[in-house]
Amino acid sequence: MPKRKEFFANKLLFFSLLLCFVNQDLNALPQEEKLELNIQGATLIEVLTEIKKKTNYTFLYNVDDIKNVKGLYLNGAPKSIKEILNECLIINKLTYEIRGHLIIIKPIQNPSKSDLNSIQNFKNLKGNITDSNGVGLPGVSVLVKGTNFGTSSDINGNYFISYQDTSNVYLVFSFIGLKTKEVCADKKQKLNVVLELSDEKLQEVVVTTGFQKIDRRLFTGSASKLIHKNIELKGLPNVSRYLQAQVAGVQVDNISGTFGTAPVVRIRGSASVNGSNKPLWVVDGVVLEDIVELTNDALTSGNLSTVLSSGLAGLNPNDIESYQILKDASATALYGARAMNGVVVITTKKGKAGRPSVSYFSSLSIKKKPSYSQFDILKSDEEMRVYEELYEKDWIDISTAASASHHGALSKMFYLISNNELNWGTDGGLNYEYLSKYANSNTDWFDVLFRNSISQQHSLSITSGSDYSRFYTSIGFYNDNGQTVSDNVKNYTASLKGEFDLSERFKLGFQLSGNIRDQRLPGSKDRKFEPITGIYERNFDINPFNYAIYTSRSIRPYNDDGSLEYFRSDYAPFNILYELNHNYVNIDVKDLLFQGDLKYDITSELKITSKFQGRWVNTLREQKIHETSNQAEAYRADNPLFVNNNVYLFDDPKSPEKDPYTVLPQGGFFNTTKNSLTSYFMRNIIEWKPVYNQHIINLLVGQEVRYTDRSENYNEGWGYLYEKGGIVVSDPNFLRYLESRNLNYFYKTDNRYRFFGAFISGAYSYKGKYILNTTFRYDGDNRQGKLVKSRYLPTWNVSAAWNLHGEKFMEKFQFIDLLKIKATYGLSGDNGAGASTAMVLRGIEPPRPTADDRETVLYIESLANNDLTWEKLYELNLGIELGLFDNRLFADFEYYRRYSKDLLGFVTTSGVGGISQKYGNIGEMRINGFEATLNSVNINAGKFSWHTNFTFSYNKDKITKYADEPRIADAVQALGTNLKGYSAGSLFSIPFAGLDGNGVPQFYGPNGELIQKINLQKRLDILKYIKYEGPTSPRGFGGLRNTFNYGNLSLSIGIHYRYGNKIRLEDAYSSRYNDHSSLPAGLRNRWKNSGDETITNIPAILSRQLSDQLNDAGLNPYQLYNKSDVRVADGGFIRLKNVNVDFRLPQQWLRNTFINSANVKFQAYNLALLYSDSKLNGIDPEYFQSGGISLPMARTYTFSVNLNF
Amino acid sequence: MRYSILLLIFSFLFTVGCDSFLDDNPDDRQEIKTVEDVAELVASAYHQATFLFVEWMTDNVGPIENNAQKEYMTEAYLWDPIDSYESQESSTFFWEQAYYAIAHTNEGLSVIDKVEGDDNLRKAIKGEALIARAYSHFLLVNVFAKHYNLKTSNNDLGIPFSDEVEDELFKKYTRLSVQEVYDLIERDIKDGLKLLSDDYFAGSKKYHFTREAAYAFAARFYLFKQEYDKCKFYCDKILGSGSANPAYVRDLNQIYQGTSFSSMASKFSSPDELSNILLIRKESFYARANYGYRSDADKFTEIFSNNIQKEFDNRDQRWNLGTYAVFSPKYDELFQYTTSNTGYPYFIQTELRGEEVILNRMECMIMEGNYTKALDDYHVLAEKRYESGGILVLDSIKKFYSKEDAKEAMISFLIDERRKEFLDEGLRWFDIKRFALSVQHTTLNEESFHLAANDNKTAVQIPQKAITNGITPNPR
Repeated sequence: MPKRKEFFANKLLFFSLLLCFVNQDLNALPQEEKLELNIQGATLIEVLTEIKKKTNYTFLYNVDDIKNVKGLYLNGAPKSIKEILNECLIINKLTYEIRGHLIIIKPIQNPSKSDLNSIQNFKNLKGNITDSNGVGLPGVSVLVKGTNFGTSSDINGNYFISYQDTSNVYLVFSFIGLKTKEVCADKKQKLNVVLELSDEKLQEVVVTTGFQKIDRRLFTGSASKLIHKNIELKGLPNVSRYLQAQVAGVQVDNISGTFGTAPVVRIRGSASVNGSNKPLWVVDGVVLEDIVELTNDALTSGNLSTVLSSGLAGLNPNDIESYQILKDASATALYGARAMNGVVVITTKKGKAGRPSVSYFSSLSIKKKPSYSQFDILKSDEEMRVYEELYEKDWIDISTAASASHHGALSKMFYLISNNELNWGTDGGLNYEYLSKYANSNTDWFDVLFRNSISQQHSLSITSGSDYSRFYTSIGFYNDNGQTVSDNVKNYTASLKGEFDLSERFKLGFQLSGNIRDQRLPGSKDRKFEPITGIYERNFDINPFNYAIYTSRSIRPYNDDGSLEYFRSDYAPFNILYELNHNYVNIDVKDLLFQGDLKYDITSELKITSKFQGRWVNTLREQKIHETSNQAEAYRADNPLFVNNNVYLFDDPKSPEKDPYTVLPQGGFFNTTKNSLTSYFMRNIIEWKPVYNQHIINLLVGQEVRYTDRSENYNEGWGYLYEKGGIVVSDPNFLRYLESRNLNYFYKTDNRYRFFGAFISGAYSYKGKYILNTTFRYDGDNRQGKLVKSRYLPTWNVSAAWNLHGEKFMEKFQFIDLLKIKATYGLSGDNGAGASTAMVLRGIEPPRPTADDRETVLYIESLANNDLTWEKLYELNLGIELGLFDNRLFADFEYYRRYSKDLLGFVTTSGVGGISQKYGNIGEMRINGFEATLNSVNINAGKFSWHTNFTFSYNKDKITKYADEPRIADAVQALGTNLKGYSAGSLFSIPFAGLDGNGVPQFYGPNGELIQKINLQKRLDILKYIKYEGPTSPRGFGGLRNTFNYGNLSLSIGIHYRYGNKIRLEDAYSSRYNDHSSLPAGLRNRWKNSGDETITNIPAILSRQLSDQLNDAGLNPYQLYNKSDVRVADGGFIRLKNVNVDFRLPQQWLRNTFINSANVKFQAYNLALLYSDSKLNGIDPEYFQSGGISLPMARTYTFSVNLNF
Repeated sequence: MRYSILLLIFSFLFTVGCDSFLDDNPDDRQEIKTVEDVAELVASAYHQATFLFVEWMTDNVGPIENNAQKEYMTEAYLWDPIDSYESQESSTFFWEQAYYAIAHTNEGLSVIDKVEGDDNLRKAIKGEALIARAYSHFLLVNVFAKHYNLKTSNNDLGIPFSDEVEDELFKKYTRLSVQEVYDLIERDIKDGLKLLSDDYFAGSKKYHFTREAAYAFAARFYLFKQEYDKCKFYCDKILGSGSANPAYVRDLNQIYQGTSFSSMASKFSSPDELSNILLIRKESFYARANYGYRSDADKFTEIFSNNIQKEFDNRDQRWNLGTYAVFSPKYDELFQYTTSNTGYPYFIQTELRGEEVILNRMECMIMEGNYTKALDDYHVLAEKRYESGGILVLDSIKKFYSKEDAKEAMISFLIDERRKEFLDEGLRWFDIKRFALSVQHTTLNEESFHLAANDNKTAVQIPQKAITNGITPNPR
C-alpha cells in the first residue's frame, strides 16, 4: 500500500466521522460475498477504504475511535465482510452493526450513550448543491453544525448524509470561494441547497470554453466573462462591437459602420505578423465560420465582400446570454492549432421550465449625419482662389478642360466657352460672373447625401418547458433606413431550441436558426492592386462618405432651377444623386443552421457528449448599373477630343487605323456574385469526473471533424436595358474587347476546408485549493498541404492555480476574500492559410494576337515549400485575482510573455529558384504584455450604489527574426512595415527639412544634407534614409465604465481609450491640384511668395514648367512630403463611447397589468472624441478610409423598451 | 462491457478517415497527371521579360531631350547598377523572369518520367524543356557575366545554374564560372536536340522551340563560344548547306508598306513571316520610344546613311512619337489589362530570326577566311535590304573600311551590318562584348562617360534583391 497516513491524518482532524458515499441505486451485494484482501501492516481506515472500493458498503465511524488502529494483516484468502471485520475489529475492541448499505463501527468498551442513541436515531438526508445558475457543485463540505459529522458532495453536487435526529439540526455547507450557508434539516428527506459565490463581482461560477463547462475554481487560464445585458449597445446589430473597452486585452477597432462589416478584433494584440490575427468566434460550442474568408488586407478594403464576411451579423443580440473571452494558452488549449489569436465563446439563451414566459424588446435608434465641422476642408470660395492659381500656372485651361476626364467648376466653364455656350469674362479672362455661383455654393455634401437615419430593432422570445423538456424560440427584426441616401437593410433572425430529457441519463437538444438579410448599398467595384504604381485603385467609387469628403464643395448637386446639375466624371456626365439611384447593389443573405446536442451519462462520473452542426449559407450580390448611369455612359463616351484617352473604349487591334469605339452601345450592366457556404461539424467527447472526497478529477478525451466548402460564382451581364423590361443587347465586339484585356465575364472558384482534431485534457484539484491542468491536442488541416509534418500540429499546455484565500495562514487577513494566483505555459497555433507545401499550378491563356496560336498553359503560382509549418505561439501567463473588503473591490492582473515562431510572411529571395517573392514561415516575434481589470463598488448605501469598472491593457512586441528586407516604400506606407528589432507594422518617415526658396519640400539625407530625391525602391541600408515613428497598432488601450444606481434608475457612462500608435495621414499635398476634388484646408497657409518658407510647411503649387523640371531632374519631393514626419499623427484617443440611462418600472405600476417587468432605456453611442491628435483634423482615428462601402461609425441615440409577460 | 463497446466506437471514430479526409485540395489548383499537363507547363518556359535595357548601354542610343528619361534608364545608360526600379525593362525583372521560365522546365523535367502519356510526346517535351532551360541560362550568363573567353572564363563569375526544383523556402545558390555555365548549357542543348520534335506543337509553332529554333539557338551559342564549325553546322541545318535559303530573310519592302506603324510592326513580328523562327510574348514598355535613351535622326544617319552601298536602306524607317527619338517598326505594343484601366503593355518579340542565322554563318565564314562564301550569305540578305540588290566585292569592303587585312575589313563590315539589322533588339550589346568595342556616352548636360573594351561593367550588376540574398555581386 502506498503511504497515505499523513494525508489522512490531516483530514481526520477535520472530520471525526467520514461518510463515504456511492451510487445508491445499485443493489447491495449478497452479504456472503467473499473478498480477497491482501494487506500488510495497514491502518483500519485503509482496510475500510479497500472494502468500500470492492463492495457497495458505506462505513460510518468516529475517526477518533479508529485512527489509532494500525498494523493490520490480511493474507488474501477469500473471506466474507463479516469475517474480515471480526478479524480487524474485535482485537481492537471495536464492534460493528450492518444496516442496509451502512456499516457502523463503534467501540465495544464503554459505549457512550449518545453514540448508541445516535446510531439508533439516525436519519438519512440527501440533496443537491448547486450554484446560482443551477450547475452542480462538487466537493462542497456538508457538516452537521456543532458536531464533526459530515460528508462532501459528488461531482454533480449530490450529497448524502446520516445525522443524529434531534430537534434543530443545522447543516453547514461550505467551500472556498462560496458563501457558507447554514440550513435547518428539520426532518426533511431531501434538501437542495443553492450556494452563492462569496465574490459576487466575479459572477463567474462556470467558465464555458465551448468544449466543457469548468468550475471557475478549477480554472487555471485567463478568461473574462461578460453578461450580455451588462454590455449590450442597443441599436447596434453587430455583437462584436459590444466587446469594445469591456475586457482587458481585447481590442476592437470599428473600421466601418456599414451593416454586416465586422470590426477588427484582436485579443492580446497581434500574435502574428501577417496572419489573420482574428479570434475564433464560437457560438454554443461550435466555431462560427466566416461566410467569405477574407485576408487582413481585404477586411479593411471596403470591398463588397466585407459585409458578408462575418457570420455574426446573423445573430440576434437578444438571444445572447453571455460572452466568455479566452485569452491565454491554457484557456484556449482545447482549440489547439487554431487558438493562437484567442477565442470568444458566445452562449445563447436556453429554454427554462415553467409556464410560457414572453419577452419583447424594441428599440429605435437615430444616427446623426456627419458634418463639415469634423473635417478640415476648404470652402468653395477658397477653392476658387486655388483654381485661379491653377489657371495661372497652366494646369487648367480651355484645351485641357475639353479633353479632361473630370470636370469641376472651372473646367466646366472652359468647356462651355469652347462650345460657345458661354462667353469669356472681361478682357478675355475668366468669366467671374459664371464662376461666382460656384464660389458661393459651398455645397454641404453631408447634407445632400446623408440623413439622420432611423433604425428599429424588434425581438420577441418565448421560453417554456416542463421537467422533461424545455423550449426557447425567438424572432428578431432589424430595419435600418440607411445613413445615406443609398443604403438600407432589413435583417430577420429566428431561432428555435428544444431540450429533451429522454431519461435521467440521456438528454437531447436541437436548435434550428436562420437569418435572412436584404440590404442595399451604393454600387461599388472591388479595389484592385495596381502593381506598377503600387497603389490600390477603385473605379467608379461612389461611396457617399468618400464622395462628401473628397469632392470639391464648389460642385453643386442642383442647378439654380432645382434640377440636377451634371459635371463630367470618367468622360461622362455625372451627378452623385442620380448615380446613387442608378448604380446600386442588392445583397441577399440566407443562412440556415441546424445543431444537435447529445448527452449520455453512463454513470454519474462518466459522460459522453456529442455535438453536430450543419450550416448552409447562400448570398447573392446584384449590382444594377442602369443604362443612364455614369458608369455605363463612360463605356460609350467617344467624343473625338478624348476618344483616345478613354480606356473604357475598345481599341480594336484588328483595325489599328480606327479610333477606339464602344462595345456597350446600349444598356447598362447587371453583375451578380453568389457566395455559398456548406459546413458540417461533429465533436465527440468522453468526460470522466470522479470525486474522491475532496480530490476532484476531470479527464476529457475527444475528437472533432469539420468539413467546409465555399464557392464564389460571378457573372457580368453587359448591355442590360432596365428601362425596356430587361432585354439584353449584346455588341458583337464585346467578347473581343474582354479578350483583348484578358478579362472574363464570369468565373467560379471553389474552396475546400477539411479539419480534424483529437484532444485529451486532464484537471486535478485538491479541495479546490490547488489545481493542476494539462491539455494535449493534435490537429490536421488540408490547407496546410499534403506533407505529414506540415499538415499536422500537436499543441499542449500545462497550467496551475492556487487559491490562497483557502489557506489557514490567510485567515488573519480578514479583508481578503479572494486571492488566487495562476500560471500557464503552453503552445497554440494557427494554420498557414494562403501558404502551401505543394507547388501551386494555375491555368491561363496567354494573350497572343493571332488566333491560331492561342493555347492554354500552366504556370507556377508558388513553388513547393517542404519547410512550411503552422504558426506557433508559446505563451507564459501569470495572473493574480484579488477580492477585497467584502468584495467591494475586485482586481485581476495578468502578465504574459509570448513568443511566436514560424510566422508567415512574404520574403524576397534571390529569385534563382523561379519565384522571387515567396510566402512562408519567416519570422519570430516576442510580445510582453500586462492587463489589469478593476471592479469596485464605490458606494453602496441603501438605494444608491456606484460601481466602477476599469480595464487597462498594454503590450509591446518586437520582431526578433524576419527574413524579408523591406524597401523604403514599404516602410513609409500607412500600414507600416516589419523589420527586425521593431514592432510589427512599424511606421517610418522621411525626415522633413522645411521648404526651399521655391516652396518645394526638402528633406534630410543620410548625412544631414538637404535632398529632394530618394529612391523609394531602395532595399539596402534603408534606415539611413528614414526615421522611426512608432507602431501602427496601439500599445495600450482600455475602458472605464461607471454605473450609478438609484432605486429603479441606473446611469452608466462608458469611456474608451487607446494610445501609443501612429497614423500616416492621407496623401493630401501635391505639386498640382484639380478643380473636382476637395482641397485640404492646410492650403490656406501654403507657400505663396518667396520668404514664406520660414513661416509655413505647406508646399507651394508649382507652375507646370517647374513641375516638369522637377520630373526631368528625377526629383520626387512631393511624393516624399506625403511620406514625411510632418504627415504623421498620433493615433491615441479618448472617446466618450456611451451613456445609458435605464429605468425599471416599479412593480406597483404593473400590478394590474399582465406585464411582469418592464424596462425603458435611453442610450447615446459614440458621443464624442474627448481627445485626439489635432493633426487628424477631426477624422476618426479608428476609421480606416478605404472607400467602397465603408462608412464611419455614426453618433447614435437609441431608445428601447423591454417587456416581460 | 458497456464501456468497452463505447470506447471501441470512439476509437474507431478517432482513426477513421483522418488522413484521406484531409487529402482534398483546398482550391481549384491544378495537378500534373499526364504528359499533356507537362507540355502545358513547359509552354510557360519562355521568359516574358526583355533584356532591352542593354540597348541603352550600347552606342545605338543617346539622350533625347524631350523624352522621359527615368532614373533606371540613366543608370543603364551610365552602366551603373539598375537599382531604382524592378519592373519591365529592368535587370531585376529580366533576372526574375528568366529564372521563372527555368523553374517551369525544372518542374516539368522532374515529373515527366513519372506521369502517364504518350512516350513520343514525353521525349519531345523533355527536349523542349532542356532547350528552353539552356536558352534562358544562355541569356542570363551573357547579360550578367563577362563574355565567354577561353582564357578567363574558368575564373569569370557566371550565374547560378538552376536545374533542380526548389522545394524549400530558402535555398542557397552560388555563381558558377562562365565556363561551367557554358558547359551545362551545352549539355542541355545536346540532350535536348536528341529528343526534340515539332510534331506536337499546334498553330504556327513559332511560340515553341521547334527543331529549327533550337538550331538557331545552338548556332548563336557556338558562335558566342567561338566554335565556328559547330555554329556553321547548325546554320546549315536551317539555311541549307549551299547558298542560304532566301525565305529566311524578310522582305522589308513588303513589310514596311502602308502608313500605320502598328500594322508594319505586327507584320514584322508575325508568325506568318518565315524568317521569324522563335516568337516570345514580352511584357514591356520598350515600344514606347518617348521613354529613355534612344536613337535620334543623327544616330540613324550615322548607322544607315553612310553606307557602303550608297543607296537607300530599307531598314532606315524614321518614326517618332512626338519627341526627337527615332525608331523603326519592330514592336507592336498591345495591352493586357489587369484592372479595368491599367495593366501591362506587351508585344511579340522576334527572339530568333533567319537574318541572324545568315549573319552568324557569314561570321563563321569570315573567321575561317572564306570571304566569298561569307559574301554569298550577305548577298541573300542584301537583296531584300537595298533597292538594287547590294552586290559587293571584297575589295570595295577593304577600301570602304580602309583596311588592308581582308579579315579585319570583313569583320568591321559584319559588325556594321549586324548593328543595322538588329537595331533596337539588344544584340548590339553582345557584339560590343564579343568584339571588345568601347562605348562613349554623353548626357544631356554634356557630361561624358566612357566604357572601355572588356570593362568590368560589361557584366551587368546582379539585381539588388539577389545580392541581399547571398548572390555574389560583380566586381566593379
